[in-house]
Amino acid sequence: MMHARNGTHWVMLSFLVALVLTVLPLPTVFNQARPAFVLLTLVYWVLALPHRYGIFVAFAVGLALDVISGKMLGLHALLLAVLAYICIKQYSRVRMFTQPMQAAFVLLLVGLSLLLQLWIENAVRPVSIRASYWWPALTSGLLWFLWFPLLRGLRRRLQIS
Amino acid sequence: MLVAVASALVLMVLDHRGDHVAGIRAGLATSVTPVMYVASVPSSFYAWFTGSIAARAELQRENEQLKHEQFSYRTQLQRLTALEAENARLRGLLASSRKTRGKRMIAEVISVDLEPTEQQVLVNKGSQHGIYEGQAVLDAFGVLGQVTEVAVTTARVLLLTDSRHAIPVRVERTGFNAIAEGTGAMNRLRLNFVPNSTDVREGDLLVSSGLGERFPDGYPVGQIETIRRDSGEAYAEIDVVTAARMERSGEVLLLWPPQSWQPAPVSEITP
Repeated sequence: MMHARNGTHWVMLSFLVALVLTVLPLPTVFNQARPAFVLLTLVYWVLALPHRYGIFVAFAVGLALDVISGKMLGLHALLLAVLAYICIKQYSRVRMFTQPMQAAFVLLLVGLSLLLQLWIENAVRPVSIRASYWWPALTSGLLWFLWFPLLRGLRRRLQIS
Repeated sequence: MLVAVASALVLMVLDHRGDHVAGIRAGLATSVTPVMYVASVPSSFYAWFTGSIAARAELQRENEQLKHEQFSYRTQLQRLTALEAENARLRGLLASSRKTRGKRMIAEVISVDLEPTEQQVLVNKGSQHGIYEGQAVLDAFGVLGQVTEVAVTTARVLLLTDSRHAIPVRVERTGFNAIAEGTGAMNRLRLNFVPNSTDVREGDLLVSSGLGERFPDGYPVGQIETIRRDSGEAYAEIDVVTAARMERSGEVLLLWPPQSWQPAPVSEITP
């Protein structure tokens, strides 16, 4: 089946905005609870257009995120690829969810990625975390109520497909 | 899926086990540099805005104060030049290696939030300015950290306080050598493996000892804040406050290793 390829640059722009938001200076309290903007954006595009945005886009975006955050090269690439895989397997189901259920799904995804990240980093060298390590999962879940309508509005208006 | 996971794992192993992917890393870091600059726009705009609406009287006062400070520093620098010359001459007499100041360069910190769990900053000088990995970085008050990643126009600096970082230091009063490790908390270090019976006091100044050959010798690192001696333990627990003010480092100084000795010109520091 052929699909029209519309608005790839808009999708790239949304990822760039998400990357900028990832490093935007915020007060310390908000910094610890910063939502995983890139992850939210990725989850949206994979759920909305699973035939176009999948594991390899996630991998590329993850590499950019690794370099920006100064982590081991490939860490976020792996995490985002795994999340994209889950989303691709589940997209037809998740699309039927009500919005609170979708937010819970996103919360679980972000929580899973934080957990995997902790495991991988801990395997390399011992890390100590505080409870605030998990806040991004919560704030990402909450932000979904805003981020989802925003990106959906963008997709419909610009007819990205 | 398997391809992606496998290549991610390979990348991670290569990156962790050595510098096999340093080229890829530097290239990627350079390509995401614009993101960093865009993200720093709001705070630099705020700084510009508050700077441009400052009252004239305030500016005059600040100017006056800066002139005074510069004058006093200039006079101190005269003495320093003479002392350095004397030091080099004495070292020559002792037939030990001559060490003086190398090249230095001022860089600005790009205000972006990196990982909250890690202590690192981004500065606006990179490989095109000759920055290299492992280079020592100072701020106006003391040693700040070292360069860990270099892109073309930016470099990432790992701060002393990161829990992955350790620096060899010397207690200035007694000459005792120790290693100060980062704690992950702002402006806090810890001295490890200092025996209980060692002569250290609260308030002692720590300077870099230069033993690791990464940081230059004799720059202030911190001051001992508290010492807890437990007679059941072999080592004392020693907390250190860093000399560098990490929460407000706007400008940093990058050091190059010392060259063979020559009299230091006054206008050596290039902006």
